[in-house]
Order: sequence, then C-alpha cells, then structure tokens
Amino acid sequence: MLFDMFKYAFRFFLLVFAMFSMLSCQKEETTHGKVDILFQNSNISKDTSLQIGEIINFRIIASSENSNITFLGVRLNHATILDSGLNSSNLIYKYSAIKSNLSNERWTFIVMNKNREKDSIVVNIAKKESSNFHTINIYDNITLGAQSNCCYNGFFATSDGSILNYEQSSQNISKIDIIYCYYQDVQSTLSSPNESDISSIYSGIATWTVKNETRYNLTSLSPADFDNANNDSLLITNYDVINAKRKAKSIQNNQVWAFKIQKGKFGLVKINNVETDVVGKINVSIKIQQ
Amino acid sequence: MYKRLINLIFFLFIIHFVFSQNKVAITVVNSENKNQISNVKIEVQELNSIFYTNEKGFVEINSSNSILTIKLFCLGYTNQKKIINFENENFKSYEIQLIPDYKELNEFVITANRVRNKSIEAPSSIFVVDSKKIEELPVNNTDDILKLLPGINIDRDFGIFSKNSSISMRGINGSARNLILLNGLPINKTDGGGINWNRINPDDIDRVEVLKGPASALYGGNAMGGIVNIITKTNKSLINGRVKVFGGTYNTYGGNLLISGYLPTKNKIYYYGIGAFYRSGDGYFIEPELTRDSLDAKTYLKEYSTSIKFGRDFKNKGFTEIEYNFYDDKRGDGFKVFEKDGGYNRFATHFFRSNTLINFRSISINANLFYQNENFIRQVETIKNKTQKYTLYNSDFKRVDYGAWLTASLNFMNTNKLTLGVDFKNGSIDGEDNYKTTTDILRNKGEMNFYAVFAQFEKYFKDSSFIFNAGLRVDKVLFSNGSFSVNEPTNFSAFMNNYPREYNDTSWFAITPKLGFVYIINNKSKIYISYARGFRPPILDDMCKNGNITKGFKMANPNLKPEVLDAFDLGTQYKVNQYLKFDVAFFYSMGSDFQYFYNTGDSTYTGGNSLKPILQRTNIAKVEIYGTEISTTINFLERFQLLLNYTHNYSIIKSSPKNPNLEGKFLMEVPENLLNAYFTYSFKSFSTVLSYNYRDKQFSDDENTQQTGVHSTFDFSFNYYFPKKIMASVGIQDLFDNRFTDAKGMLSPGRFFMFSITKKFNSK
Repeated sequence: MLFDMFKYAFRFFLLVFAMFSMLSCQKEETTHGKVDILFQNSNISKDTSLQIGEIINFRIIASSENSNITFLGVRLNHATILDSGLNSSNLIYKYSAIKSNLSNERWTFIVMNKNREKDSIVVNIAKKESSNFHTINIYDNITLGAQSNCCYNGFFATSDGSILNYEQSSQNISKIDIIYCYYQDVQSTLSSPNESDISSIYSGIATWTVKNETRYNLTSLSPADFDNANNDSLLITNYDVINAKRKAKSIQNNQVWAFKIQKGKFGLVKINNVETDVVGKINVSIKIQQ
Repeated sequence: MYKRLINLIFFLFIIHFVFSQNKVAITVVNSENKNQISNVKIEVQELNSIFYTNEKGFVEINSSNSILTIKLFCLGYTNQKKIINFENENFKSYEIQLIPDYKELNEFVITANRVRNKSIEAPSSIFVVDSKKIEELPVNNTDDILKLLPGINIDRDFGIFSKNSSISMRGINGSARNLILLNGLPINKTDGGGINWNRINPDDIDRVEVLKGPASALYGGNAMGGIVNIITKTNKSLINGRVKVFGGTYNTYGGNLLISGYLPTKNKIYYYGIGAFYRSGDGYFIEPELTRDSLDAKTYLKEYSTSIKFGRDFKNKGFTEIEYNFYDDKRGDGFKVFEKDGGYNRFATHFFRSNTLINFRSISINANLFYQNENFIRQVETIKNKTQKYTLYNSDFKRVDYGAWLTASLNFMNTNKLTLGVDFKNGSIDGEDNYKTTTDILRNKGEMNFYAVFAQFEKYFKDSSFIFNAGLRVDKVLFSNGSFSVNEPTNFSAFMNNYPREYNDTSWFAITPKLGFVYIINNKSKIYISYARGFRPPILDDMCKNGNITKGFKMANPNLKPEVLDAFDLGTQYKVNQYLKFDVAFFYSMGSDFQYFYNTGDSTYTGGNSLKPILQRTNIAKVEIYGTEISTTINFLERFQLLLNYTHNYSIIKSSPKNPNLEGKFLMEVPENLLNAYFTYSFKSFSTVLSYNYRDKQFSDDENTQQTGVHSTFDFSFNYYFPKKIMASVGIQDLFDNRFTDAKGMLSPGRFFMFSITKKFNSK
C-alpha cells in the first residue's frame, strides 16, 4: 500500500514538476559587458612631475558594452575626491586640480557598470624639487551683507574683487565664487552658487546655468599668519582636499579659512568682523592665487 | 394506411415517453425551524439543468434517468448533495433539510487546538470564513477576506499594487505580532516577522479560521494578537476544478486554474491538486498629481504562482498530504529614473509542506513539515532633489524558514483531553545590498533555531457544559552565525566598519502559559474567560543588519529579547435565535519588553556632512492595551444577511524609561475605532454584497508624528450564476472613489473594478 502511494506520488510529481520547471524558470534579464576607461585629450595621462600650483586638467572617457556605467570614482592617494552615480553607456569626465604640496599624488579614476565590472586608470604626479611659489591677489576689507542686509551686497567675484547684489550677479553668473549668507542653524556662512541650500535663500540661483562651487576648510592659521602670506605657499598647503566643504559654517572673528574656487585656484579668507544676523554683515580679507 | 400506421407509432412513442418519465417532488425546509425555503437553487447533474424552489419550498423535477444527482445551494445554508435512485418507482417525494451555515461554519476548527475540535469549546473568540463567502465578497487578495471580521485592521494602501500588507488584531500592530498559518503551518518569516500576503491565491482557499488573542502556549512565537489559519481547498471527487479569467481597472487582467480530484485507482484513496495563477496590471501613479514629476512612474504588477498537491486519504484514520508551491512577482515602487523597470520589489517564494494526520482510537497525531524559501529582490532608484545625486542599488535577500511540528491529542476517561507536542523551526537570512552607483556591498547573515515543547489539558465538567483549559509551552531560542560586513566601501558605508561585524551567539527562553474557562450555554452559545501569554521573537533584520534609516544610523542588536504580552479575555458567542447572533469580547493586555528605537547617545557621520544619531532597537517599553469587539449577525427573510462589527482599541506605550518621548504614545497602525458592515442578499441565481469599512485615524510612526486620517470605503460585489456552472462576477472596491493618502502622502488606487468569469467543472 505504501509502495503504491509513493509510486503514484512519484509519477505525479514527475509530470507536474516538468510543467513547473517550464513556468518557473523566468530569470532576471542579466547582461554582461566589458567596461573601459582611458585618458583622452588630458594634459596628464601618464606619471609625471609638476611644480606646486601647476594646473592639472584630467579628461577621461569610459564606455561599457551592454550594461550601463553606474559609478565613477576619483581618488587622490587614499582619499575620496568623488563618488558619483550615473546610468549611461559611455562617459566623458573632466576634472581640474592644482598640484598641491604633496610629494606624490596618486590619482585613480574608477568606473563600474551595473554588472559590477570595473576598470580604473592611475596616474602618479610627483612634486618637482624646483617648485616655486606664485604671486597672489589681495582684496582687503571686503564687506558682504547677509541676505536681508539693507546696505551691503553678498556676492563676491574673486576674479576682479567686485561685490555684487543678486540681480547683478544673475547677469554675471560665471564670475560669482563666494556668497555670504545667514542660516538659522549654522548661522554666518560663506557659500557659493553650487551649494545645495543656497537656493533656499536665493531661489533664482537654482536656474543659473553656471553655478561655481567653492569649497572651504577652517585652518589653524592666525590672522598674523594670514597677513604675512606674500605668495601662494600657505594658500596651497592649508587647503584640505579631503575635508573641504561647500559651506564655511558658524564663522567667527579672527578665523582663517582656506578655499578653492571652481577654476582650481586656492585662497585664504580672514574674518575681520562678523555680525551674526540675517540682516548682519561680514568684513573679510581675501588672498587668492593670480 | 401507412400514414395511420406512422401516426399510431408516433402516438405510442409519446405515450411511452410520457409514462416512462420519472418524477421527483422535493420540499426544502430549514433544519431548525422546519420553515419552507424558497428560491433554493437545485442543480441536476444528469440533466445539466437548474431548478428553483417556489415560495412553498417546493419543486418538481421530471427525468427519464433512473438516477439523479442533485445539489442544493442557498445563501445562509450549507450546500447539500443528494442522489435519487428511482429503482422501479416513477415517483419519489423528499423533504430535504438545509442546515443554516452560521451553525455549521463555526462548528469545527483546527486552529484552537492544532487538531480538529469544536470551536465552541475553545476559551477564545474564533471566526471562520468559508469558500462560499469568499466567492461572494469583492476579494482581490487574501487579506481582503479578513475585512469581514471584527477587530482586524488591514494596511494595504495601494490595493493589489501594494508590495505587501500588514494586519493588526486586538490592538497589536504589525504582521510580526500575529501568527499566520497556511494549512496549519507557520509562514511568518524569521527575518522580518511578517508574511507575503500576495502569494496566497484567494481562489484556492477553502476556509480562513481566525483566533483572537495570544496563543503562544500552543503555537509559540508571533501568536500575540491572534492567529490566522488559511486552509486551502481539497476537493475529493474524481475531477473537480475551475477556470477563471478576470480583468479590471488599470488594465489589470489574469487567470486562474485549479484542478483537483482522485487518481483513478480502485479505492480512490490518492488525490491531487494543481493550481496556476497569473495576474498583471499597468498600475497607477501613487504620487498625487500636484507633486508628480517626470520621475514618478506607475506601480505596475506582474505575478504568477503554481502549486501541486498530492495526498493519500486514510478515510476516518487520517490522511497524508504533500504540497509544493511557487510564487513570483514584480511590483513597481512608483519611481523610475534610468532603469527600464524603475524601482521594484520582487518576491520569489518556494514553499513545501507535508501534513500527516493519524487517528488511532482516541489518539490523534499530527506530524507536519514545512520549508519556505523566499528570495526578495529589490531595485531602488533615487535621485535627490537638491543635489541631483543618483543612487541605484539592488537587494537580494534569501530568507529560509523550515521546521517540523508534531502534535498528539489524546482523549481519556471521556472527560479529559491532553494535547502534547514538540516543535522545531529554523529561520535564516543571507542578505545583500549591492550598490551600483558606488562600489559598496553590504551583507548580513544570521539564523535562529526554535525548540519547543508544549502541553495542553482540557477537563470537561457537568455533561461538558463547563470546560477547564490549561496549557504551557517552553521555547528555547538560539541566535547564531550573525554577521554584517561591508565590501569595497566608499564614504557611504566605510563608517559601518567601525561597528561589530561578527555577532556573538545568544539564546533565550520563552515560557508561555494559558488558562481558560468556558461555560457552554447550549451548542451554539458560550461564555469564556481566559488568560494567555504571547510572545514575539526579535527579527533577524534587527539583530544582524546595520543601515541608514531616516532617523539616523541603525545599529544591529544581537542581544534583543522577545516581546511579551499578558492578555485577559472575557467574551461570549451568543445565538439568540436563528435570526440573531452576537459575538462580544472584552480584552485587557499588558506588554513588556516591547522593542523600540533607543538613541545610544553616540553619533556618526554616515557619508554626509552632518552627524547622525546611532539608534538601536531595544527592549525598552511597556504597553497597555484594552478594548472591545462586538459582532452581530442578523439573518432575515432567508435571503438577507447583515453583519455588523465594531471594535474599540486603546493601545498606548505605558512606560519607556530609556526613551521617555515614547511614553503615552499610541501604538502605530492601531486605529482607535473600527467599524464594518456587510449586507448580503441572494435571490435565485445571483448574490450581491455591499460592505462598509470605517477606519479611525491612526499613527504610522512610533513617535506619533505622522498620522493618516479617518478613512471609510464602500465595497460592492455582484455574482450571477449561469447554467452549466458558469459564474460572472463584478467586484468593486472603494465604490465611491474615496481616495486617501497614506502617511507619506501616497495615493490609494480609488475605485477598483474587477470583472471575472468562472467556469466550474466536476465529475463523480
């Protein structure tokens, strides 16, 4: 009796299992493709050495067969410069930098496609022993007003030292590198058009076709150190490529912040006086590479 | 002459035909009050015809067949089948008594004792919905059936397009706090605690038994708010089946095929069942029109399931049955950036079970095995408004649960019943979040083993009108092989490597007692009082998975212990007469060690510029729950049935010393008031149902900051029974298109039509 049962069960399952196998074998569509990355029209494409302050223009192209590229990463030594998500079969990416004071910079560009196939290129840039420091522009006693200040404008162009209001800036969007504003949480802040929260204060910036980004980090320099800087040595060496942020937050008197503008130039800003209020203002001195 | 001869032959033929006809006169009456029942549908298999009784419950059927197989159908009564053998007689007269189904429905249940037992004897509130009722209701998913019952709140905000649904009972929220059984076997997953309601085909359900209140003394973990036992169909004719095709709103369409029967062996002891189901739909935009943009997509769905069952019937001595079921789906999450399918959720589930029941003299032994393997695959695509940062990742979680349950029930000395059992269950997770827009791969693993023994004793006093019920269960639970790892980390996840990657094995006991008294007023009415403890084991997702959540960074806690609920229940099922029946229950529960997020006081950078608090799910809170459930069933004029259910819940967090912000807050997803009403009308060849569901406002987070408002819907269904066993149905959910938004502001589907045609077939 038991044998009969198993016999029938076996036959029955064999028959229907074949049917299930056909029905249930719907697999996710997966494609596999090779991903490639290389330098193209890049002024640096192989190991080299540069003087401090020399401009580096990377230009990479990447492509992937069948499966789209979903990740682009840029590393400087072990630090993350960029992690970016995308979804495209090919990619052209440009990145500008200025040779820092580091004795060796190991730049790594990584791409990965959706199937996690990866490719990377690496270039080493050493510091030339004969490195010279360069001259700088100085803008002293610049006063910028917060967004509700009645009398002072809050937009600054490092290229010519001009101070503009919002309307004037909207006509000169490629010039604007620094914006002073007041946030409820982080209070007195130096920012730039590409900072994500800035459109909550100046909503029109969201529509700007060119949005320069400036990154800042607080240094341990004293006002006297700032005053004594006669070339770009301190400007370059005090900029922290890894930890620089798009906001200089909670600014206080006598601080010195290092910054780098979109064009890759390094600078320092000294806080002479700050009135922390939405109608307040800030007085600063700025030194920037020529 | 020839002409006359032909006329004569024709005349004789007619005479012969008329006089050789068999005739049966049937009067159909109510078995309880002997009232005649009109409009009873009578199918005569041999004639392939349908007859209806007149206002005196009478019908006359003529046939030349010597045997007639008739089936009687009437709303509010159990179906009956009768074979009429004319032998040498031309005329037969019968009085057929139909049994009101409100009596039959609740008579025997499996859930109360883990073996078949009279529901009236259980010190609990028990409800049953059978396949006939399910067929009448506007049901698109299995959990829709539960709307019929008092005190069950169902969160299925996007209708059939919801990736899942959760239910709450007895003031307890979350599917993990309710045990869901499929043919008596647990399908709650150890990883997340809940179940995938979408994978159970409502057309394949024979009955749903719902037991309210904790039942961990018999069933162990998850049985805190109650138990839902879904029992699938087993038809035992030679061949029996149904084909159904359907179509509806949002270009939804699909089909369903069920075939079952006996293998054609001599003694008809082997039976089988095969099922297949397919459904697809274009879906709709869950994002309201005002805030919709080009990245919002429709929540499409595509799902199918197949099942196969084989069994051996030992007649009165029991049965053994094995079943394999496979389900696969894909449901869009309503957001699409670059990927063809956008974001989606997919659950591919293999389920195997084996049930064996052996009856030997006064002993019943139930031996069950189960294996559930769910592969949850998810694709998530997001793009941040402010920064335009694009993220794409895939999740792949393998959740396996398997186990063996053995129950033995012994009746002795006529007044005693002893139920003993041992259970084993293993649940594991092997999950991976595979990021495509960074290199990160986050992996978590872990497993829990449950070992349990239990005993339940029932003593019958005074001609079984008074029953004492006591039970005790001990669960030993081991958590092991817990780990969390981050591979190829970027800034997004590198910080997670600062936290433990391997977790120590932990273990705990759960001791769950139960005590109850039942006074049986008559065979349809009872009063009961009970105390029972329920527990919910921690879920693997909280024990071995770190991750970023809205509130901060969630750190795994392998030392989590179970939540415990002590519940007192006082209730009655009281049938006043054949027209009126009440079910009333009052419940009071105290919960301890309830799990909520606890701010550890530490914080971390989670890839962004700001520090985020580190949170850990911890056993920190005591809760208090009380409420009332009232259910009234009114049957009148034989054709109408009105079901009215009202539930009041008051569920709050009583104390939470480690997170005082939670104190006094309401339990999420538990509305204070629930009301539903079902009106059923059946006449000759159609039946119709109009239902109303009211849900009070409810909170959707523990801190009670997000709330969904009061919501009420009308649902409607109409079924028309054509000859040759063809049924056409129209079901409309949310009849008046009263669309609502969930706590995140996402829209419900609104009025949802489903039209179906079903053809049933069977042979002897």
